[in-house]
Amino acid sequence: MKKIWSILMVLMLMISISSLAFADESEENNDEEINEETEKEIEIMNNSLGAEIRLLQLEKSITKNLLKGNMIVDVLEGLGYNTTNLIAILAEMGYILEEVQTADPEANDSVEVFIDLKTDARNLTTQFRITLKDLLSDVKYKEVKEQIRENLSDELQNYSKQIRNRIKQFNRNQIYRLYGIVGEGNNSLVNKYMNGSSTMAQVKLQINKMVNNKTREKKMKIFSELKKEKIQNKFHASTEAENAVKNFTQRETERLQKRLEQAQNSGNEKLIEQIQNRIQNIQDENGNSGSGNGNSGSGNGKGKGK
Amino acid sequence: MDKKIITIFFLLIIVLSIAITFTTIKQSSTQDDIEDYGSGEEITDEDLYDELNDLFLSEDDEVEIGDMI
Repeated sequence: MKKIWSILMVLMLMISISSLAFADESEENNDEEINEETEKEIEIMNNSLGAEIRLLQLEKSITKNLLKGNMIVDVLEGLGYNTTNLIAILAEMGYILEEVQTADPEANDSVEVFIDLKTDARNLTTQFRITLKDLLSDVKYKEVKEQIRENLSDELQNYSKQIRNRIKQFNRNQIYRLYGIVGEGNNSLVNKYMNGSSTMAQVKLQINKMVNNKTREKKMKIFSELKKEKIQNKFHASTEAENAVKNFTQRETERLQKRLEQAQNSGNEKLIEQIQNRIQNIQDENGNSGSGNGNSGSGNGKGKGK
Repeated sequence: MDKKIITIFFLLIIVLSIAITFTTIKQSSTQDDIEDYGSGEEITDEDLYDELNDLFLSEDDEVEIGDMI
């Protein structure tokens, strides 16, 4: 009998250990999935041009959502709905836009700032969508969605132009770096790309042809150099992402405190209430978990999106 | 009594096998993700072109924060 009991104990122990391993694995997979998009984006932020591109892209996305949000509020007000909560969310999104606009792409913490503000913008976008769904019936929600078309305002077009310009500069730098690795170059190709007479697809085709003419050894060397650079960028992005996760909750509370002051100055009661609730939630969560570290990253849309 | 012990042993072996298989599959898939070309593995032109294409950003590239509706 004793033997049976000891074997049973061993069996139970094994099951507990294996279930722990399974739980751990699934948690790890989730983290990987969550951070993939943001990590990919910050790979180019190891220089100020790359950081400028990402911050400009974030600025454009927030502006686009703000314009759309205001259009939705206008439509709902015309239908007689109470839009106080939605207006408060848009007001905070406006603060985030200002923070992105004042962010310095050359600062050491530009990656951290990008991750923080992107997370905030994503979470507010989700909050807006959820609030809207709570406010409207499914049929009405679809009706309003059909009324809101993609906005092609001058402001957004101006952003697109600026971003395209910076990306062209980034790609030009990449072409020159590649020329350095290959050991030869074609300036007229770069000029054509910069003045718009050649597309990126044509440039890629020309580069592929140029590399294709090289010997097998040379191709191997080019491949190794490119791979090395890519791994370095990935490693850098991964380290930056890891660092950004540290003290995320503390930074989030500081950002919310700053926005709370702005809301108090503007006298927006609903926004004051919303921000105070969020600060309280963070404090409660910290009290419960006893951990100061929060989540950051690409945002899953609920709470602190990782 | 002996039958019980044998059944429990079999169960133990099954659980252990599942745990080991899972760990092995997980490890091998992780290793597949790490591209190691240092061991003389053949690099195709396609691999090289993929690396070349990855150097550049699409001019329509965007940072996604989700839709408002």
